Amino acid sequence: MAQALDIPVRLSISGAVRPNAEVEVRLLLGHVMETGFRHDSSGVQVPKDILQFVKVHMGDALIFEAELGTGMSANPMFFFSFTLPPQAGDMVVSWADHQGRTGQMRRPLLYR
Amino acid sequence: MGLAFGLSLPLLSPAQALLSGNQFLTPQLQAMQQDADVNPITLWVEKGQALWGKQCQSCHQAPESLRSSAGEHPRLVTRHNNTRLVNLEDQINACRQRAGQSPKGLEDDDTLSLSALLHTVAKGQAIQIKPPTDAAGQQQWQAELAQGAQLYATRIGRLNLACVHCHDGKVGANLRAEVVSPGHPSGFPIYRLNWQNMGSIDRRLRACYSGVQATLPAPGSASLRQLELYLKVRASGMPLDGPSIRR
Repeated sequence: MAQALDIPVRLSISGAVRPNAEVEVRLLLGHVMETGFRHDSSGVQVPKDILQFVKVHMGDALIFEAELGTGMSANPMFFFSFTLPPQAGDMVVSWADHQGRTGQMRRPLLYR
Repeated sequence: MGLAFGLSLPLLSPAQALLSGNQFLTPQLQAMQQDADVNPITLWVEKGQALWGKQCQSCHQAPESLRSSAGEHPRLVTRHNNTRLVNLEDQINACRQRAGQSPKGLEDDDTLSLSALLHTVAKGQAIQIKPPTDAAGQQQWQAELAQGAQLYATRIGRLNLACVHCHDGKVGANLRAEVVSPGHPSGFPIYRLNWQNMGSIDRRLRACYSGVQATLPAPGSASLRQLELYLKVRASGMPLDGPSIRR
């Protein structure tokens, strides 16, 4: 079983949340994204610590996927457009870091 | 431009004439700053709220009850017969020690989260640094302020520049890709894109020393607090912007 990695995540949707509407999903992940190339002021190498995969599922469907590397800034932010499904459901953000530690966040999406 | 002119002008200008650093951001960064959903500072403020509920609330009630706090630091505090200037991040750490928790660094994530929270609730409050009421305190406070004013006008580093040369004399001019701001401390702690992290005013001032290629003072040095005091007095009456994004 992979170790758990808890990070702060902010998922927001820009646009009207209603069936079949096209919206912009904005995802902000709080992570240091340490490249492993840097040395601190005392000359010690700062260990690598990066998020490697980010996925967003809506129900069973994969709606967004990214593979990150050392070139990505800290606290990465992703915007993507998405057409909301006819049925409301849960949006699930999942991530894994380079050591294979994983975590996820579930956000129920409600249509009014 | 004369040094005396540059030094006396900002203390005389009315608060509404003081330009916030936010006005020097690109329109894109201003939009990012105003939208909590994409502003990375939100991550720190949310963490600060969680920490507040666990560690601070039992003594301090809601963070809003300390709304005026951010605009009143640095102030003189006597601890163990030693009176010195203490800024908000110092105070957060002192509080942590008093509550029996291990102290953390000034640039520690928890310290900055709590500082970001306190500066968020202080948004719109005027910077209002008050000297202590007792005579001895007042005398020391004036001396610290004078030291800060002197540091502000003292040339340092290989570039041989004082703060006053750019932040009073060249406001609005281009410095490489940047536009020089008056350097008013209304937006701390800052999320600096260059750092890819939050940082306190302490770190920002040390970065200024590095910018003019001077010897960096240690984090928490008296000189950094004196400079901060001078900058806050210089920006007296200016509304706090809350934690801000900087390039």
